[in-house]
Amino acid sequence: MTLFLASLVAIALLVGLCWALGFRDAPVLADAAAAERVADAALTGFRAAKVALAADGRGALLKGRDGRLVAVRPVGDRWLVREVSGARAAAGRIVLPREPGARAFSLDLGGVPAWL
Amino acid sequence: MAVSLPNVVALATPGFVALVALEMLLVRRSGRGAYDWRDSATSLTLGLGSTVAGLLVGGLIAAAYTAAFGFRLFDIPVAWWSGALCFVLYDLAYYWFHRTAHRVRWFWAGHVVHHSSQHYNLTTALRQTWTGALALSFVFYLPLFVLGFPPVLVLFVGGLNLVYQFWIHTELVGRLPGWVEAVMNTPSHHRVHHGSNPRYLDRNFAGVFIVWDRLFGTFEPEDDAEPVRYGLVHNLPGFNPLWAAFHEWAGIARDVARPGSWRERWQRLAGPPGWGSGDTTHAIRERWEAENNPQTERKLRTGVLAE
Repeated sequence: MTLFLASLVAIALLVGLCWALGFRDAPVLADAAAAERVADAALTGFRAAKVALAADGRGALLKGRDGRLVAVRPVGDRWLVREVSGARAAAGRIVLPREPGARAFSLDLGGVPAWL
Repeated sequence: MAVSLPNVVALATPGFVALVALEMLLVRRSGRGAYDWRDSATSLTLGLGSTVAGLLVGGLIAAAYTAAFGFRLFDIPVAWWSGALCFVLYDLAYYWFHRTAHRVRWFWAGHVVHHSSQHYNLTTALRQTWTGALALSFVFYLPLFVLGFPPVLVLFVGGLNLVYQFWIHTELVGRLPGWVEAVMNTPSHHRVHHGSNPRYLDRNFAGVFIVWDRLFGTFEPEDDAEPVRYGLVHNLPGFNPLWAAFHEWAGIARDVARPGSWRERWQRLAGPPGWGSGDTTHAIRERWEAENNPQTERKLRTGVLAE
């Protein structure tokens, strides 16, 4: 039990040091081309036909030339790319389907894209 | 008289903590490598949980090892030469465990945890499975006991193997001198192993000696022109350690319960990861090669390279 508690303390200290050193960035997409690059890297062969960038650059929704709908959203200081079905509009935002193990997430695209 | 050998992992643990702290400081100072506090919290929690899980099921695995040792072919003493031989053979067994853990979904369900970070640093080394026993990873080492290596010696070299693999999880070390890169598993070789780029998927399974990959055709050098994208083909959507530990098991349960023939259900369980969705390593690499090599694409179109 002592070793377990000592391990918990060590974890808390290391995570605290990590936070204090500033490793708590939030990624931002500079433009639509950046969103395309992120999606293309994660999904081999994906080519975007339409891109809607979030107003704050904290995500994007892309429609592929093959018709696939793809969301790019942040996870920590990295991006998560997912093919999505069932995205819906609510209160001016695009709400993505909730995944197990994750919080609900929505994108402010400044309106609903006509192609969605 | 029974021989006792030290628990090298327990002895090394304070060093692990100190080296993680040092790496954080060096990454901040040099700008080389990356950390995220949420990611590190998950990795370290999974590491602690893995130790607890090991204590819970350690008795069962010890019983399996003892039973296998009962069928031993030789009586091998604990000595420097048997230790060296055991170390090499353990690493060979590790290579085949590791390769299987990437190619068979049941085994992957245990191992995927270690690959579920989009970062590559010393905390990633500690991001370990909670379900290694369920994934049957221990069976790959049973031949060592049947050969006659004493359990205390196998556990000792297993600890050395694990400790060696800790330090190679870093972006701070570039390439090492030629002979080291030729023979040993290094940070460069292991960065490739953690890549989700099609070029790097399912490559460099070595634990200590990279020669196994060179020998069995799974070696891929790190290409400076193609930076490694760390993580999974389908990355985790958050930092919940419980979901990280069990998500692939949940996926197996969901997929096996789906309608389909028994053969299909078996493939969802024991086929390669991504079998049901068309996202196996083989399929991803073929799509990537078709995109990057038109000649390959033409061959694909004519069915010469049909899967």
